[in-house]
Amino acid sequence: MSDALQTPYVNRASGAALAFATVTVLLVAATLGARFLVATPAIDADRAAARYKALADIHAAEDAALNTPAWIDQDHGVVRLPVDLAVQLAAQQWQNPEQAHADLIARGVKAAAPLPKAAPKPSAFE
Amino acid sequence: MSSHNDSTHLPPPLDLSRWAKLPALAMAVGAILSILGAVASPAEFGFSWLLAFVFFLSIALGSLFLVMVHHLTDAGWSVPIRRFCEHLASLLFPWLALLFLPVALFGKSIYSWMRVASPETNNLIVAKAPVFTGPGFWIASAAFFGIWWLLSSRLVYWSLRQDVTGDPQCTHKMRFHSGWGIVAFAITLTLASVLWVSALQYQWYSAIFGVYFFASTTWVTLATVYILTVILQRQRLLDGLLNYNQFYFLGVLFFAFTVFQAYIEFAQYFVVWNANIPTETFYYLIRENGNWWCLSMILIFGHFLVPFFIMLPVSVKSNFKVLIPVCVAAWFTHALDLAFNIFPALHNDGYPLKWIWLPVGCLLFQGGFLAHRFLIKFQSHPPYPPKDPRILEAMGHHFAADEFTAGESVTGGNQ
Repeated sequence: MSDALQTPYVNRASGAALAFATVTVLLVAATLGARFLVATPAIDADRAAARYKALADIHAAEDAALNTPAWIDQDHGVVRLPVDLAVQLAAQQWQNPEQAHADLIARGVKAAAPLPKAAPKPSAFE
Repeated sequence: MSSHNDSTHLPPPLDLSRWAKLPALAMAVGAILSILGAVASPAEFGFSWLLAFVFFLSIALGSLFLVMVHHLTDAGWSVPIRRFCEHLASLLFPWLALLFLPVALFGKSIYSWMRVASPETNNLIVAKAPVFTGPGFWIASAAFFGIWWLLSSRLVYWSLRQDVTGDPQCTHKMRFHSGWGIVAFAITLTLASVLWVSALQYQWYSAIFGVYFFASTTWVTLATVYILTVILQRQRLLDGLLNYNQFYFLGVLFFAFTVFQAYIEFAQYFVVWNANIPTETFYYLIRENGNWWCLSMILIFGHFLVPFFIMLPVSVKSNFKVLIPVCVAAWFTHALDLAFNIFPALHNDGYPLKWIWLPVGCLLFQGGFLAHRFLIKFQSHPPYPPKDPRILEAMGHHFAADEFTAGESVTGGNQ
């Protein structure tokens, strides 16, 4: 009676051990496979230099955006200006408030104006 | 100061009869200079006339404010000085309204917004369109003078009526008019200062400008009232009515407004500097050019630091020898402060000193004219309200409660 009662326990424990072992083997196999089958670039001086260059490129682009004037949207008269230059120009222009305000309105109108539509392409049948 | 009421220690009455022709002389000289200026340059004349007009307007408006505050606070100490403040306030109409006419007539030479070719395309003018139009300017200006006339005439009417009847109800009437008047005063003073002064450069705007003008107005008025009170005291016209209190309280108010005006002026500058928006900073940017920078330094010291430190000790506030020069200097610095606000709209790069005679001429003419009208009013009525219920309190007589109840026991007056 007691053997009959204990048998199922033995069978369940064996099944769990088998499943655990299988999963372990699969994980080890996957780890080893990833280690030997997937090629990763080496962490070396060249890669560090590449990252430094990327960072320097970003800084250079930011510096250029901050410190050099350039057109943002020439059709709408929108320009990018360094802050110092913008302050200098504003101070110079507002010495004549009448003219400065008129220019401000004109620039605002130009910036907000819709661009003229491009001429439609002639029909192939004409 | 303790001897103000003691006539045995007073010097002989001040005789100003030899100066009686001074207003007429000032008018004559001022008229010649003003006419010469108007012919030579309408723009220079317009700005100079505006400066003089605003200078005297600020004294009249400040006097109106002091009269209203007197009634609203039910003050006793200021009864003796109330009458000449009423006369100063009543100069608002018709005399200052008349002096405003050249400002309106030379409007196109003074206000650049009146010269804009197509105002409908200018957002700043469109936003203020009902007022910033030719008719709007006239109507708004007429409304300001109308309200000031109504207010000052009612206050003067009931004050003079009390001289005849002695009725305490007149005091209640004046208090009633001061009640609505103080609100109307705040609104009209703010709008007038914006329309007549700030709008000289309509591209600029400051939400605090009305308060700034009010602070300057009351400051210069207190200086004027102090000087007039001392003159009347020395003439013995207010003999027995003035004591240490009046001079001390006036001095304290003058000192307080010295600080308040500087605080408001600095607050305006600080907000503009901190926001750093081109449409606002240009106002101060222009005022750093040429001799405007020197004038700004004179104002920092002359309008605030010097009077502040001179008036700081308690005893100085009732010391004539110290405070009269400070008050006279206040007239000059107030005129310079107005010039700092007004003239850069015409002269961006600094004031050309070759034109200095023109604002001086306008100030002489308007000052002489208004002094003449003031003296006529002053001489036509008692120099103080003799039947004001608080006149004894102003003289320093205070009654104990039982003295009142002795007289009121019949009617069951409470203590």
